[in-house]
Amino acid sequence: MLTPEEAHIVSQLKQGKNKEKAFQELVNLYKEPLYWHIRNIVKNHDDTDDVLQNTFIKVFRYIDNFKEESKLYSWLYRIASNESFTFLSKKAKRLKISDEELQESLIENLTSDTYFEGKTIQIALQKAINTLPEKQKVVFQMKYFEDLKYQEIAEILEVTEGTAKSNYHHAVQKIKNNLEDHSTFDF
Amino acid sequence: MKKKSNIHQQHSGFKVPENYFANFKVAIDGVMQEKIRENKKQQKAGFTVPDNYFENFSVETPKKQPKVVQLFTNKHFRKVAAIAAIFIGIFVAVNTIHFTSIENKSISGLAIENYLNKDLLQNDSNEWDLDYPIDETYISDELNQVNEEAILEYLSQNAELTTLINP
Repeated sequence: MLTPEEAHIVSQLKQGKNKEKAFQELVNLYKEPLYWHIRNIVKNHDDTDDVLQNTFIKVFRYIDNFKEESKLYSWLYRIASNESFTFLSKKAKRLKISDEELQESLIENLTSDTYFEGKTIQIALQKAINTLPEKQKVVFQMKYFEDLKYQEIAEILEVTEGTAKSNYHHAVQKIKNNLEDHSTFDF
Repeated sequence: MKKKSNIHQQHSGFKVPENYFANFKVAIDGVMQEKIRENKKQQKAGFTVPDNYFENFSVETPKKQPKVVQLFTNKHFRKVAAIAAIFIGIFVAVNTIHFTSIENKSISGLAIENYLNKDLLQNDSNEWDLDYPIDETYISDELNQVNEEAILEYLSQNAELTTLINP
């Protein structure tokens, strides 16, 4: 179910009345959470910016396909996730490397990234996250970095809340084991 | 999606540009605004964004463009082929009729000519045979039946003929 505000925006977007204005409201509302969601997947700012743009353009184009049975944010997050994974897949193909090699490369590049000011522990955390199965990786990022509720994560990933919780706890345990040398890291 | 305290922020490596979120504006208040979180927790990942990135962020919505119609789609190719086939059919039909009529006319002309030549000759002979039999004996007999007085009278009335007879 949509909130009244979401319903208002979606209605205006679908009807074409004040579509531009409604779209701007949508962008203002979701640009930041979606940015971070994408950034956690594609890692660098420039790529995130491209994917964020593509995400909103997809939203604008396909708003008529949005079935109001699900929450608007879950639909937006799904588009952002799909766009991010598609982007990475294309990038790996373009660079003629595997997806795993690309992930390693992206994390290695963080050390020289202007828009990354993490220390050794952050790099170690990213490396630990990278060892997780895809589902656990996404759930961990959404819960730990993006601060989403289990219910929200479950809606976005179209899994049960229990599955989301289970994935997160398994992920935390694996990361803890991976980072046991960094005992100051607080989960 | 409510704002939460940033308990992990100090552990992340993510950062944002100066005044990035400070300048971030949202036009809608109320429940929706709750979705706009400070996202300070993102900083624990170490990621940052350029100065005023979110403030200046805008999406260029795709404008409606005129529909591009491909000339050689299968659908159009079929239509064009069908129209071409109709024109070719009409052309062939018209030419066939035209040439056929000319041929027919030629044949008819010759046939008629032959027919007429043949029939006229036949008819002529038939007519002569039937209505005007050429019989020299008959003619001389007829001439012999004309008496001398009648001849003289005729000649007297036609002086020219007299001149011819008696130059």
